[in-house]
Amino acid sequence: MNESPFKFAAHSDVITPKTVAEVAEAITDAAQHQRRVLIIGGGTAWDTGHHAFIGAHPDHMLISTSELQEIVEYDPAELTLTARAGTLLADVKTALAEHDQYLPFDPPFAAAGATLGGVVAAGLTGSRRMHYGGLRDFILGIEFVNAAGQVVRGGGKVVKNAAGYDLPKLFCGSMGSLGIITEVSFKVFPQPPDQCTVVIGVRDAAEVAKIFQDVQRSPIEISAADAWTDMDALPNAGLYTVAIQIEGMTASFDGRLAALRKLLPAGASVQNVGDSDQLWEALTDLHWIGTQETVLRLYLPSGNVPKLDTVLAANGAQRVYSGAGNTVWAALNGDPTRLSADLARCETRAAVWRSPVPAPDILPDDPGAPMVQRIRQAFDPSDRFYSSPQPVRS
Amino acid sequence: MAKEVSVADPKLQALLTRLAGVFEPRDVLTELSQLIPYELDATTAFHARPLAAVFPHTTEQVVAAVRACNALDIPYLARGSGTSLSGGSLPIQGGLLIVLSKMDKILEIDLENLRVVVQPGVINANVTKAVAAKGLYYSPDPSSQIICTIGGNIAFNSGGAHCLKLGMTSNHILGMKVVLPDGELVTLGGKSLENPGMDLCGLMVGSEGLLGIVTEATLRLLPKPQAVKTVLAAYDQIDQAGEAVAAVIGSGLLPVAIEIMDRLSIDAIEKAVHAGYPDAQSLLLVELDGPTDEVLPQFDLLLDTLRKSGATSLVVPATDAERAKIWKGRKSAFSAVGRLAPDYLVQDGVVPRGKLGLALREITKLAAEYDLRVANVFHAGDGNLHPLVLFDSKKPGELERAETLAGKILKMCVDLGGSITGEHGVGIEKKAYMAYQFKTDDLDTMRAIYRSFDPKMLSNRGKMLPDASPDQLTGHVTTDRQHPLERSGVIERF
Repeated sequence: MNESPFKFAAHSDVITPKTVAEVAEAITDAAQHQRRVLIIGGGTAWDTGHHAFIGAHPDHMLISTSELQEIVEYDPAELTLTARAGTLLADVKTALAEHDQYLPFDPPFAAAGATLGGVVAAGLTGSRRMHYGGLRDFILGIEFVNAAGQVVRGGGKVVKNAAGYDLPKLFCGSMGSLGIITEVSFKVFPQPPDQCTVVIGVRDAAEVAKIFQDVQRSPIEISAADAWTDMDALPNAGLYTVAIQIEGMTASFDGRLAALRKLLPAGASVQNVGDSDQLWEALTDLHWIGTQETVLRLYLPSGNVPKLDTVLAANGAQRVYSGAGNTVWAALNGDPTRLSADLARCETRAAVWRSPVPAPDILPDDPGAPMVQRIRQAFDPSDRFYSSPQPVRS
Repeated sequence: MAKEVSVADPKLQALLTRLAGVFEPRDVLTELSQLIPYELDATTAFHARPLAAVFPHTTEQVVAAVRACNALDIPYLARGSGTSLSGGSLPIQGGLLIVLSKMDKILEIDLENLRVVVQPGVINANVTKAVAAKGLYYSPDPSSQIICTIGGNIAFNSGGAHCLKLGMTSNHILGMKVVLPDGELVTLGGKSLENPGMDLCGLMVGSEGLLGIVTEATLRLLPKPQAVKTVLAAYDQIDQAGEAVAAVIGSGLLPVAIEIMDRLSIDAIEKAVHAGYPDAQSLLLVELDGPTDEVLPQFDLLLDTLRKSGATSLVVPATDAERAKIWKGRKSAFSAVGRLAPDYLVQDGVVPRGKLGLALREITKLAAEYDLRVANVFHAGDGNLHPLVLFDSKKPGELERAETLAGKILKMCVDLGGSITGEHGVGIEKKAYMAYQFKTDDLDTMRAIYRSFDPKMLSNRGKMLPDASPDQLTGHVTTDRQHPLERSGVIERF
């Protein structure tokens, strides 16, 4: 994604605590002075509503996790990793790669400087989520500083734990509204020895949806299936292009690719992609999004891809379907709320990531709102943390 | 409700008045003789008498029951088959029991999106049964899967033997309808793998009935694996089996299941179900699944790793029937070991995988110290122990010794960096140990969530969260042989 026009660095008052105790002090200070608190990780999700809020309210306190960087525990034999919230995702990926392990849910924006805590708060996953599970399926434990300045832990560091409420999951996608995440524990997986990617050209969204459905039902274990149409920044194999990845032992690829070809529509072109890392990074990190003023992340049952695709095309949206069509990134222009009725018809919800006009966080509606309200009441009754983005681009 | 009520309890009368017209008379139980079977769950040490039981067929009936309880300040508990091993589905003394076993319909099988929408009373194994012909299955497989319900699985985030690669219940629940404790109905998530905003389904799963009643759930289905390969490795010492687990993970393999059984369990299982296990001090069961072209070479690597780890013999089932027999033995372990003594306590603490050997040595030491037998069967890949403490409650002092021993094992799990429960939940049985695993501020956060959802604390009152007093840390054993809740009259024991 292109660099955001919004820069938090211009804000005069960014606090960078070095310890959890300093985070707690900052919160206590904010409470005493009745200041609201905004939390910054790597700033890679800065295109969400928060920035505009700061522009409107320069007296709010900004706390950055940039000085909270450390991999606290990593024992490859345990398949678990614990790191402080400001630890760079790129550093975590490097540490894991040294032991042939990885975070298979493909958290985005590593190259741009995303932090582990930011990944959790933003609740983002990438292409391989469809096969291995998402952020919510790999997070094990969390430490955070709450609105009262107390250090609280939830979950644990072991791969299986059913004691108490699952606070780590609750923090996934909470956007800094429940507390400042200071440490996170993850389950990690061994990285398969090899991978293979093919791109397939097909004629329309119905064929894309059919491929999505078939690969999810196939026992040959497809790791990722993304699709796009007519994009300058990505390779185009047909009117619509589907990229499929399989992972495992190299010797298994011929047989599995042969099985995959049987699932594809007659006449579909299939090309091997040599250096596929670049392609998957471009897809995951949204290199294809340009200067469009509106960015949406959409969530849908993958069977509704054709219906939604008609809506997105009619609205002039560039779009990439990820995770076999369970999520979509769409970049377009204009007020996103105009899509609400169509989204409802497609059983699709959209998180508003960037918008030229004030818009709700979630379109067309958030049926979980009554529960969110109760949770916010429990965590932050005095409304210390930023909770309701109204993204406005100045 | 036409039924005459002989009981003079004014609360019960008021409740029945409110529910008249909502429930058919046959779906309401108030007589003592009818309620007795519902006084306990699979954690038979605890026992409490509900005021009444209702059997809703619809979400609207659940809403009505919850609203009635709120209006009358009656605590309530929703339950399914009552297979909880932590006393989680133990009724609340004098409270309403909302039994969901009649909400047992599979509402939708969506083959296009690989989802199934079910009511909470659907039996776990029936989900897979309904889609097996289509080459699909529902992954979470608690040992009680032929009787336990999806609603109960959601409440306790039930696990099973296949969590290492595929996750627990929480990882397979994508959407739900929930009746919140004040009667408001909310819809969470849906059919997509991901949802915008905070993970509300994630909070609900494992909340042990304290935050609401799930009346509909959307589950993820998976394609049946192309190939499954299983091996049973025999060892002279249980430590070797523990070390073999580390070697398997170290080889880069990600088995779908890794289980260990000790001598006492093996003998009991053989006697009970004749699983055909080899004679050994310890058995390690490892299963791989996936595409055939992947699994076959991986299986060779696995066998090689196990040979090098000191296995005295390797048994590879040649057919699906033989594999099923091996699993039947493992899944019957609790009931089989249960035959070895009049009573047993089962715990499900978790330790880091690398500390399994240490934990087992410690359990052996503790068993000798308390002069009791302990059988071990566990999900080794997850570090999830299942020590079964055998005792005879008729022998003076044995129950107390067993409870003290079980409590020491739980504390050991926490001391080693693990958890007091991997999959059975806290319920009533382990809530005293929550304060050993979590700090006051951690527990206060959980209490704040509970109070925010349920200011009157009616929903499954008294479970999971310990009372805020520090003396709770003494555990559930007391010198006068009474549980603190027994002393306060909340529960009774057989």
